[in-house]
Amino acid sequence: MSQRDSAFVHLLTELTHYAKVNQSGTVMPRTLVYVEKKEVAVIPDIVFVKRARSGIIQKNRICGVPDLVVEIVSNPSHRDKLLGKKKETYARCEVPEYWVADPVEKAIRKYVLNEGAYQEMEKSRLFPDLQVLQER
Amino acid sequence: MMIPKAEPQKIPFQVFEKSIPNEGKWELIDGELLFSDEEMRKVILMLVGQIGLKKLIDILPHESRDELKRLLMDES
Repeated sequence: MSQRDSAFVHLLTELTHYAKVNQSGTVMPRTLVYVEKKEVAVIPDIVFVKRARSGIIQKNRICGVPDLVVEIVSNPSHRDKLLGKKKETYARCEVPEYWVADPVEKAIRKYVLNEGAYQEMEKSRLFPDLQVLQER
Repeated sequence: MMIPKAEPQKIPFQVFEKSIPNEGKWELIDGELLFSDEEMRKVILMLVGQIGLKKLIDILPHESRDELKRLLMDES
């Protein structure tokens, strides 16, 4: 399994477990997210939708803005895309949290939306106690 | 890199592997596919190479075909 796939499985497992234990919402892998009013259709690696907003989850897509989007870097040019166009798009769609996991750097950048722009934070607001360790 | 010819061609695995754009995800932002120019070039050449130029012309709507003809004439 590639480093990227290991990181994906690890993150998906940890987030799903946390959301289940805390009954906070739904974690979904590689699901189409369609934000009609912003003309955006993307397939993030992982998304989380709070329980109170679960109405946006439809049969094979999310129609609306998820509460957290997680993307996993696979190579340097992909990292540029995730920290450029995608970050800008998620901010424009007002996704409250955006994480970029880099299996090579063994780090997760956590961005929290603050007055329309992302601010890098050490702790997530949605998963504050979650200790996510990258697979080695 | 695939070089499209008149007739359809098989796609070598190495070309296929290198031509998959955006980690295999087709994403749309503001009406634009989230592919870099290089990713777009590779995937288009692979697809056109697979079907061949004859088929490409065949599937193009008449209006587009006329436009293509005009563009090719202008270029030569």
